[in-house]
Amino acid sequence: MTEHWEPIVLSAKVFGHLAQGLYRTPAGAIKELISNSFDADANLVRIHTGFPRFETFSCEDDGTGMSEDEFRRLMNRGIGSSYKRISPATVTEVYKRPLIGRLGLGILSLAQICTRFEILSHHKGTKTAFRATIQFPPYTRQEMDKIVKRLTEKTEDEQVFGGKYQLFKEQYDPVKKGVRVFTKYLRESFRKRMRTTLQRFANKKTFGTSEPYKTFQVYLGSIYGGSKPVQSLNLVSDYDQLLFGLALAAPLRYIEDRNLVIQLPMMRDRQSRLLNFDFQVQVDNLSLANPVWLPSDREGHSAKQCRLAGSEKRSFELIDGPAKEICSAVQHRVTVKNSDVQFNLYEISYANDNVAGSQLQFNGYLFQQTGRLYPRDIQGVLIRLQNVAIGKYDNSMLSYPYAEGPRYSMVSSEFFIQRGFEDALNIDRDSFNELHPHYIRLQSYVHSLLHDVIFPETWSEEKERNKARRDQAAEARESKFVERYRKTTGDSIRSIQRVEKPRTEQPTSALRESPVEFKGRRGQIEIDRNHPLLKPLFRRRKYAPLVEKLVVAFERSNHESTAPRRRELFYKLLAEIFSDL
Amino acid sequence: MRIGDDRPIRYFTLCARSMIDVFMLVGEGLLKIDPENYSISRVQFCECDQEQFAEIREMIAREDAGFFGQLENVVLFKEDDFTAQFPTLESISLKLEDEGLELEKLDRLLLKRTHFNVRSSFPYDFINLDFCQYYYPHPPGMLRVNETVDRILDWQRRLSDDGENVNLQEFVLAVTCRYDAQFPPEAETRLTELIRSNCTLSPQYKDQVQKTRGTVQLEEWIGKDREDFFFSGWPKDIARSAKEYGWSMEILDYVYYRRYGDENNPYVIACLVARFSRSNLAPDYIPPALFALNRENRKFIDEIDRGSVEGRQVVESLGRIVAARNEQARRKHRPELPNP
Repeated sequence: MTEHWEPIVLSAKVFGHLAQGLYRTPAGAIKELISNSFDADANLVRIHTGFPRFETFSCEDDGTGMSEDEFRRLMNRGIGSSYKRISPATVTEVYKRPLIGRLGLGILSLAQICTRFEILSHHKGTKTAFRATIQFPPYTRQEMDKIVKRLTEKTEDEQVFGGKYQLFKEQYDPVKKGVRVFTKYLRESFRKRMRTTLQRFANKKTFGTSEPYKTFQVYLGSIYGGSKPVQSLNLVSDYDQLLFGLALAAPLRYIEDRNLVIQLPMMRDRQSRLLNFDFQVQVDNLSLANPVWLPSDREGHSAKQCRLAGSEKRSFELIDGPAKEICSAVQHRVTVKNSDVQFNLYEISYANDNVAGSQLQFNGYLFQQTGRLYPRDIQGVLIRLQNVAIGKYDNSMLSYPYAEGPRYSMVSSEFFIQRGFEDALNIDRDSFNELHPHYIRLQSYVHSLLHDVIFPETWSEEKERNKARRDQAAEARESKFVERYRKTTGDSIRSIQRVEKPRTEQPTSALRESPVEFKGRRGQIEIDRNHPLLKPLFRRRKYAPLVEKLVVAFERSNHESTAPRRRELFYKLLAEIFSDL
Repeated sequence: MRIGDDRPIRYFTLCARSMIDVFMLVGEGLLKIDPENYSISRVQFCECDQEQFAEIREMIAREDAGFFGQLENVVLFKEDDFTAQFPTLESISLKLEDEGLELEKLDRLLLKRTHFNVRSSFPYDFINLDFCQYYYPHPPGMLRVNETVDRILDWQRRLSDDGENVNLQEFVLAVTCRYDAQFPPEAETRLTELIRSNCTLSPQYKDQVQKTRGTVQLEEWIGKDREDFFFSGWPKDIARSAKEYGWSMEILDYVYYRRYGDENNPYVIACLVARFSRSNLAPDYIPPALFALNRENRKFIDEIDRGSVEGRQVVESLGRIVAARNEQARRKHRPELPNP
């Protein structure tokens, strides 16, 4: 029997995307399948990567499924102009979820990881089922580039052969409702990368085992790893990156005892909406959740230790070209139990009815901690559209133009787009058109907030914090010196005092006085920092503690009766001073 | 079941989605469910149905469990001029990077890769080959199941690749197959030759045949009771392979039951459970052949009479296994089996 195959017809722009997308991250491709399931009112999506051999891949959901007609329409010029975009519905029927996929690209995104796959759909609406095999064209990368080049030279949107498919009807079974995708034809480039990078498997690095993760918590533990968190996901395997990428991208609940942002009322509402969606994603038997832990630092501070302590409205001027407006954010101070560090959590909200003629509304949060956030993949800005992350965290803060040194690495934020932005999204649904007015407005908002509120605050807080730390350290060093001084000299001294005695007499008479007074009864040594002999020595502040000790050692040695005893005591005290440096 | 040391059992199965055998071993404590994530360790399976493959893997809850493909095809992979050019997993991987490869060649290479992977997963302490197919199907696929068992007995001699360095001294193999009136003449000829050779080499065997079947004329025996002839000859085939690979075979159980096919055609499912031990001396296949010859050693499993004491015990026992299996199915949001 001859096999009957039908061509898959794509528009040139979709083909171009496909060609460019071949080597994008696997998470970006698989995310599209999850979005499809979300839109199909599925409760559970199960993805199996075939770890650690990566020889098969499957994704199944229990949603409403896809009808044969819809499938055929997509295969015949329908991709890029999805029904979901044509339909006036903006939310799903059962769970009223905001629709994510609007271009019908979900299925073809698989082309990035495989060359051929089978899809089985049991459609609840029509009570029909079909099975189809999809074969992508065996183009080489070079051939695809040539086709894309030829197409870009043309003005009209040409139709391109994008592979072929074969469809068979199946008996509908309500128990099997939903879509199942299965393939053993994984691209070797994908498979090889997943396999070879397993030498950096986080479970092995952190817990010393090559076994699959037992739970998602264990996986996150291997990434955040207590006092030794992974610095960057690039340092762990592609499989770890895939898990993180999917968990981050999908509309999933936050882990409440790991992410302090849930303490914000706005985020609690969001969490409750996410929970009401009743949507779960399992990858390799791990039930995913939002993988971000805040705070996440080397000191191992956790959300459980953090409390919001007082809030304050902070205003700033948003400048977007000629447009200027006063915006505000609510700053919440975050105290940390059993620690003197203080973090900041900003609650953000913005609405404007006319940004280049259309509405733009977003809210979100910005968290700022003391010290770097780990892994670096949660530093920066993440934009979510319809609850789905678009791309990754932008470490450049949407191309922030000023140099702020390490302060960049202390900030993690999420922006949730409520209105607008649809047209700002590129066809790959993984990046934005950075010239779109909505993107530019959000970018300006972020830059103004960072520049006028967050970074100056960070600077002054950091200064205060550093000064306090320096003072504390100096105090500790001084009491150590006093202790040693006592032991060496036998004097009953408890502290060193600094005074600045007023000087009216001629400098020559002052030169005869000692700048140090030993007050045995009070147990004090008094240093006159206004003494003409000492003044030049205190010009460099950072040497002041050392100078004081040297002066005390010299003056105290002079109290000895003979030159050898003076010498002996002086060198002993010098030894104590320098043993601490 | 006895294993040489205290390590956990390594189990290979063709369990299908019901997974009764797996949960029976869980119930017996031979396989362990991890209380943290409910995964069942050290179980491997082979399955060619993609829906069942995904479901079984999820029920086992270990992503590294399972091989996709039909066991006979995978195990009996034969080189051709094309695949012979790629002798290692690395060379196969390199070739697979050529995305313009014809589908037929691609399939051959993928099959070879799975063949390597399945082979390197051996040996196992317990192998359950519930083929549910003809042991001797019609040509051209004749003897494929038979050959598969033969190859597996060879692979059971391997030292494990997984760092445990398991070097088996004994293991248990359960093989199931189907027999009916369509039994092909080619297969019959093969069995006739095996039994004739037994009679020639072992006077004891010949005596037993004469005593119990009233003739040593095999054609006469076949004419009188073809099914009995099959039951007597089949285990001998496995014993012959075992001898070749240095395994001494001891039949533990030989059971069968009758069923009717879609066209109301009767057939028999026979199940042989045997222990294989390393033998320093040349193993003797006459004892298992004599065991199979003795009708008393074959246990017929009749339809269960639910009213009888034994029937109730069987249903209760099966009920416990199904309950354990369904508990896992609920955890994994998979369809449950009906209560027996």
